[in-house]
Amino acid sequence: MEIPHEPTTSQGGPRLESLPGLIWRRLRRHRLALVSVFILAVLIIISFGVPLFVSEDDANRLNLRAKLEPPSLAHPFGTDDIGRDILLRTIFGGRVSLRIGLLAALLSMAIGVSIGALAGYRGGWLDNVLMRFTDALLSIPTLFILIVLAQVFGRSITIVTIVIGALSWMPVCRIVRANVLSLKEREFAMAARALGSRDSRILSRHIVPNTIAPVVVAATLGVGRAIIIEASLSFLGLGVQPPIATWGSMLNRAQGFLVTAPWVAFFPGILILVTVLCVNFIGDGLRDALDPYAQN
Amino acid sequence: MSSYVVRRLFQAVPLLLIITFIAFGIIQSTGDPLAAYTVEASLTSDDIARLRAYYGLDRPLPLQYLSWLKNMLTGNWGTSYYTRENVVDMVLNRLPNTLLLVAVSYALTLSVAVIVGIATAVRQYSLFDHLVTGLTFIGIAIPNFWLGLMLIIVFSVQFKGAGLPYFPVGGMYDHRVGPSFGQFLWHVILPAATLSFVMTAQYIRYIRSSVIEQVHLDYVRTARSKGLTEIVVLGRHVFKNALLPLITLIALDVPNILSGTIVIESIFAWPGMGRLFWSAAERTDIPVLMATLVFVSTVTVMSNMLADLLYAVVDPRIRYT
Repeated sequence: MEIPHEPTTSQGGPRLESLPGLIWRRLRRHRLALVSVFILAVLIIISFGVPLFVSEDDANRLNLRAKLEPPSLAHPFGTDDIGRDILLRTIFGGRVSLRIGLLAALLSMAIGVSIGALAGYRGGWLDNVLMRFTDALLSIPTLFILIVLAQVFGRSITIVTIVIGALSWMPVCRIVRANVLSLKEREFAMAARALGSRDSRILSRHIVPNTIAPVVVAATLGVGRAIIIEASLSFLGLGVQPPIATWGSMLNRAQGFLVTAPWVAFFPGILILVTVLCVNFIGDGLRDALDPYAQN
Repeated sequence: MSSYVVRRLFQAVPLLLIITFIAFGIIQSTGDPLAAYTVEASLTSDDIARLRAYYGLDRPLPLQYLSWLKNMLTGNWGTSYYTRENVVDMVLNRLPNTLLLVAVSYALTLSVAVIVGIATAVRQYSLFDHLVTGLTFIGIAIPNFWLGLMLIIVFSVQFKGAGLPYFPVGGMYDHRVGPSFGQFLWHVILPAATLSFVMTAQYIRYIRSSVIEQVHLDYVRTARSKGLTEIVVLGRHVFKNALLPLITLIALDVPNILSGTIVIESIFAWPGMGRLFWSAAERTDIPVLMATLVFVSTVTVMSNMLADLLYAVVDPRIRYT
């Protein structure tokens, strides 16, 4: 058994550790999460770094003399049906998929926190209306309404990001509302009110920071969900418009060559799997690291 | 109990109203339905105005919403822009196929998840347990369409190439053989396996932790100490208590599995509602899209309600007044 050592200062008393320091120290013990952070960092660096040196035209350049070539030294992931290099397209696709996943999760977190805090803090009819609206959105199967909205509003990267973010804030909203409901009755919130703080200040300085831990976990897991949703949309041919590569749209195209060129379908999919797996592990790690009741 | 049923039914009404409101809002933002005709030279502005009045498009929005809602309630959901077919008929024609696929998927999920979930809980921290836990992590992260493609590559393409019996890649039955139960089973296995994989992974994790929680409780010790065999203890006592909440889980998964049918039916050419929705989306066939949207949402609301009621019936500890 490992004996936890108490961090001490030169005076010998217990040292007050900064919150990020504490979280990082706890996260480090979660080995899978740590490995995931590393893998994800590599994926992000490649996806956003390579496009600085290679132009997108290279990823979209066709070469009809090298159609559906199996993986080789020249094309490590092989080529697709019009001779485009799958490795390059996977990298450029990763840039789009990761960006949509991260931004959509951020957006859903912002919406969820705002609506949840407002509903929980104000209560009354506003709470009722907002929560019934949340329930209604939760009752519409995600992919159905996403497809309709993407068809109606257009299929640029920005719109797909906004649509995914605007339709995945409901779980965060519920968590925040439930926490705010109990936090606003606590002594520190009452003290702030007694001191004459405005509601907006009480919410933003005192209440929301206290409920941020489960939100961070939910938002992290939301990144994985957003990536899968975007990929599903593109896979159905209803997401970001070609020729922009995304992991989903590459798989859509690969459907036609499952017999002759299975590798076309393999690599983009395995990257979605690895990315989402890493995000989920990091989410689990954060859940443990942010748990205020966990023993050090 | 009956007052609870009535109250629960009434709770569903505002929910359904909000859903129809959202749906109507989306239809409104698709723009002017007559926009295409304004550029057509054969129609004068007088004709357009008459069309507008005929379809009620000149009336204020709240009135348009109410008449749209009235049409939805009376089963008048409009006709497809493309096939001119009645939208309700289109959805109802495809519905049984989707329900069959969903039913087989749920059956597959539950039978696998219950057995594997209990087995891993009983053999906690064994090699088998670790293996399954690893698989469930992958199961939760895997995109279902990619899994479908990989299953096709292995079980249809490679098996066929190796001269083994292989699974068909599309449809509900072989057109040369015609519909039969055997054909259906043969064709449903791959799509149902794909559709249920993610769900199975989640359920295994849930059942495992739920059973582990239960086996340390007093009633299990009592059951064991009065000499019941482990099979009876698990099968009779733990099973009931650990799996009750599964009802809620199943109901909460209804929207997810319905979303899944869009993807799975389009990969495996399954002639169901999901595929209908997908082809309607490709052609921006708004009436079909909206009808399906409202329909699946209603199914979701109803299934949640049903789960609540069922829970109240099967769990005697819960009393609703």
